Amino acid sequence: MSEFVDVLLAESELSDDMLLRELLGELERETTTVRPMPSATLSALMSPKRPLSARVGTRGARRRPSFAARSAIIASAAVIGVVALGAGAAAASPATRSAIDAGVAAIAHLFEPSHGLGTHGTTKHGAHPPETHGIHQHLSRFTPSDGTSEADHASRHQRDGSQNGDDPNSESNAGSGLASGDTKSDSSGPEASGSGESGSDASVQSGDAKSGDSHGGDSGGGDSGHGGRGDDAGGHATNH
Amino acid sequence: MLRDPSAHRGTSMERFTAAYRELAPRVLGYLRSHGVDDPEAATDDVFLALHRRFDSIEGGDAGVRTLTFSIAHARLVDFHRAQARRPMQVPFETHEDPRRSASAEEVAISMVGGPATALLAHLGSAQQEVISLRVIAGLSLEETAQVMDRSVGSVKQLQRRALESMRSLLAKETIDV
Repeated sequence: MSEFVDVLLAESELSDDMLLRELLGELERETTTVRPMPSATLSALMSPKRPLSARVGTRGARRRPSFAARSAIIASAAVIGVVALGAGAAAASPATRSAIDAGVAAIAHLFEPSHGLGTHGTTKHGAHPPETHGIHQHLSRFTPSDGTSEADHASRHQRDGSQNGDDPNSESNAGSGLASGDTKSDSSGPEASGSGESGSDASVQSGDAKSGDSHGGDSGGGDSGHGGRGDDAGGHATNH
Repeated sequence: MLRDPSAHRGTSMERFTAAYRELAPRVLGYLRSHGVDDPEAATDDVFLALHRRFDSIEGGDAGVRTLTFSIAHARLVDFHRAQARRPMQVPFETHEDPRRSASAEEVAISMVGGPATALLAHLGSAQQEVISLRVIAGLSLEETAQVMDRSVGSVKQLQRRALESMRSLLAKETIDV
């Protein structure tokens, strides 16, 4: 028998009525025996939700680190590697250290611009045959691309001829001219193979663009210009 | 007394589940005893409405119980008002039915609605309401008065008259049998 029925009968001063007590007890039992089935909406409200992290964990797929995190990892690994290399070099024997220093010095030497150009010019200059001057004397007439007129070139040729004859140091001047004009004419040498005309054109473009002519004119006159073009002839000869 | 609907201390969802398990059969019985045609759907509506306000309920377990049956009472009033607006339904006449074996519905109704429930139907609506809230819902006198929006004295008077009517009806049935 439920306590509700007892309380109700006590409040109404009918606690002794057993028939009524039995009736009210039956009423309660009849109406509360059926347990309703909750709807889907209500069941969803009462069912525990699985946390998102657990679902991710069961899937077993970890998130890939971000780009910044990966960059930081790579940078830190590189720094650690450099530090380890430095420490290893410091801890090595003096002979190893000197070898490393020599290697570093050699690499630094290769990257010096003046050093590379000077070496290149000297070796080329030594290989130039002297007979190429004549070819460049002939080709120098077709070098108006430096902005000067035909009259200027003609006067320059006349001046060169006089200086060639007068200057006892023409060979050395030509050599200095080669040194300055060589760097440009070298690239055009292979293109000029087969004919003097094409070779002269190539040398005209390279030699005029640089200060080979003007230098030659200042220091040794036309010989320096010839020397610059003679380098092309030398390249031409070696290619053949 | 009614077992504590939120005796299972824990999260809001756990307390709501405990309240549903404890109170849902009583809400269903309360709605069915008052003739609601789909008491299970109405019970679901009651608890869905309760869930929306469950976290803001004050008064502990008694507050949960009172609010639950207040919502159920409101649904019951709405149902009766809607019934009044609908055309009258003709009851099913069993003697015109050619079937002789009991249908599943009849068996279920006979299991649910017994003689005590039928006796309750002979009472007036206010007396019926008081008895169902006191016995089926398990509310106290004050809670019943709060749900019915009446004074405690009025509810006590209705309760006494209802019990006297039931006793007289029961005595009459006993004499008839």
